[in-house]
Amino acid sequence: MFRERMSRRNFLSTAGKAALSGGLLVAVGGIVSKPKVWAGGSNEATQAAKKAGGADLWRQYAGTKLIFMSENTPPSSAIKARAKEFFDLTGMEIDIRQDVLSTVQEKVGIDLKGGSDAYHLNYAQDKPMGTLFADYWADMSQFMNDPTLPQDPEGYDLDKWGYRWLDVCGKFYESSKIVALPYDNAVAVMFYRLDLFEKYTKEFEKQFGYPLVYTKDTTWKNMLDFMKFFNTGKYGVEYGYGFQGLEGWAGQLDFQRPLYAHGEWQEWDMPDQFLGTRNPGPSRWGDDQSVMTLGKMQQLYKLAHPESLSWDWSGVNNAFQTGKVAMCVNYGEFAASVEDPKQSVAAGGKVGYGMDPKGEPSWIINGKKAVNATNYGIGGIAINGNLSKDMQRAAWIFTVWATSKPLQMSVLKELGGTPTRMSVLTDPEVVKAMKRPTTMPNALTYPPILEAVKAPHVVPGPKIPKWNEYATIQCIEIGRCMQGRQGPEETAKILKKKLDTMHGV
Amino acid sequence: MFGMSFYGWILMPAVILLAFITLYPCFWMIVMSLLKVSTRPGMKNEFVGLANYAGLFKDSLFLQGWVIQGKYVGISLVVEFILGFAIALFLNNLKRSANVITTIVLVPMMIAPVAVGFLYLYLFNSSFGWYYWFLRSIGILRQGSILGDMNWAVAAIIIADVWEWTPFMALIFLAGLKKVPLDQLEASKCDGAPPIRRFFDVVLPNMVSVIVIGVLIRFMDIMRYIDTIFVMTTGGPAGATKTVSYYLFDVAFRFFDLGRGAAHGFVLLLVTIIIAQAFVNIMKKKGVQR
Repeated sequence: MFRERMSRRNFLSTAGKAALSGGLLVAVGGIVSKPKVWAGGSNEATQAAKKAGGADLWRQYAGTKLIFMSENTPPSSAIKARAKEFFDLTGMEIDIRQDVLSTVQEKVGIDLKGGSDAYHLNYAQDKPMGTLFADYWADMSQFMNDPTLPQDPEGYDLDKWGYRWLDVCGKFYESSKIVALPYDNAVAVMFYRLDLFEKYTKEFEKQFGYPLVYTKDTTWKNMLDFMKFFNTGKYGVEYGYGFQGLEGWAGQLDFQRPLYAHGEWQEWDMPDQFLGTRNPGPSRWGDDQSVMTLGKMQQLYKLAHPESLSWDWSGVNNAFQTGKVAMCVNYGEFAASVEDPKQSVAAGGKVGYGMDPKGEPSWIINGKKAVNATNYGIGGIAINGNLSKDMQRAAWIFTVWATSKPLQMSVLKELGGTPTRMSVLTDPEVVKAMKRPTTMPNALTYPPILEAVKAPHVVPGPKIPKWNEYATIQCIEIGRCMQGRQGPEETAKILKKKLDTMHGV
Repeated sequence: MFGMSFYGWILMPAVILLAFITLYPCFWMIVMSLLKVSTRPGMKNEFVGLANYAGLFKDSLFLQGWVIQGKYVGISLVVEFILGFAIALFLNNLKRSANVITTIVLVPMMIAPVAVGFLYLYLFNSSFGWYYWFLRSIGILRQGSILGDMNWAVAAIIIADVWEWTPFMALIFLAGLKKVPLDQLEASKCDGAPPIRRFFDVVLPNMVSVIVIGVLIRFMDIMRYIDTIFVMTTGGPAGATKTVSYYLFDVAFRFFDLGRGAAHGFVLLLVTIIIAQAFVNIMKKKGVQR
């Protein structure tokens, strides 16, 4: 029917008109939806903004739309829910796109390395993101103290944040450039079933000769005993402990804890582990301490829940919530779900929180200390360096707002955030919430967190440009060792060879 | 002009566009594979010749990835082929409700691979997974974990793949079965050939082209497939499910070593083309008309 009615000439003419109309429509749409930047670019505009001050500084980029690519973390969800507040304050629209970290890494990496600016603001997770992309993010120090831009009344000095958190997520390989402000902390602490510890302490003491209690002096050797005790299945759970050795960041952090706990062992010697280095040199793998700790870790993994190599923080949290394991090291933000009776059998005051297990002195042969090795992910907000100056300034306004004390405080109260400002972590209301009964369950983890994130317990690195490859290699080889496929000595030798080859040593 | 019909000219822009979006990235992949792509802004890419290719053969994860890929592709294809054929035969012989049952059988292949990954992640979970519970109950699974065990994790990703893609094979084979000439089947019946003989002497020879096409499409698909692995195991535990295509994703988009990733991708493409060409040659030998 169509063929009979329409000649070729008519067909081509109609198609041409349709294409032209479509093109015009797209072009007009593009003009209409193009973000308007009203100030900041020229000297006149800067002077005008300076004069105006106050609310006008916040609104100087009204009409702009910002896109923030973030991991699906609690603070990102909380800020997303408050996007209207940001719009009311600044006149800017904020579109927060959330995904799993590996996808964020992929999308942001392509955007940054491709010289593009599809995502104006990036989630700057310290190691998996920052070590690779820090060079592509804008230097925020140019915006700090700029009178033509809104500033946080508390400022951005190192002591305004958790212990060196600004260095951890904001500075990479050099101290002069700040590429991100901390807005999300995920610090590893011990979650343990306090109710079971109290209930079975006498039985445990009969078998092992000391009471079943968890303190900051509890060592990884004690953990072996706890696992033996709970693994019998007679004491309310199936297994004593669950690791989170899933390949990737979860596994890297998980393996790092016992390694650092014993003699503060780290893969590379660096002038400042908080800043990292571009050329770390030869790895320490293969030394006596590394082989010794790997051997002990094999024993620990043998007794831990068999799923340990397939769990990340969510996996182990599920196991803890469902009463499969009595203990796990997990990140403070999971306290809210553990304390929720709808989601967890451990809710209702049954959980204790402590620092991560300490190194066992008899397992240390490098002459250094035993520490409660604690590591973390400090997530920051970074600004895409490919953006125009005006858009970078607009993105700064969001950064200041999202990392401010009032916002962190309200997010913590309402949705269970993970604050990074010391003024929030030490606020009297928050300090009060660190004890039961509490309306801020995440705050229950702050006492061990605040003690553990300082030297000598904290282990921030290794911050190296090839961090992702290092984490993959390490997880695979240590994973094989934990599965009994290769011995500790062989594993340490392989790691030494592979990591040195990776760095061209 | 050029002996092309009006419809040929109409199609020309689409063909040019398709060629551009296919060939241009391929060309850049080859160029990039010869470079050390800069890791910092302002730095220039460095021409390194074949160094990225040479590096691949020193990379144990790359070499081991081929072994894992071989297991994953080989076992999945064989199982999907056998089950797919069996299901196709069953559907072809259905007298009633054939359409409804065929539709139900096809459901898995309509689900997004990522969703299948999550489905099996939960089914194999030792805390609440039904498959885990079932395998433990009947005594097949002695370990306390499926996805945390190096051998079982490989089996798990194969099971997920077989579940999702067997219906695809069944659909292709079903189409082939519908084309088996009835006169040949009836003649063999009249000659007294038993069903098994009829299957091997009449059905199977008539199905060769369909089988080759089905296996070829599935092979090319599974060679680049990482979605379910990404969700279920992220290549672990201890690299047990890190196929060569998954490792390519790691190198290119997690390590952002784009030169090495391009070389890796080009080798994967070459191998896929060579094996696919072998399938096509089989088709030609069997006298299948294109």
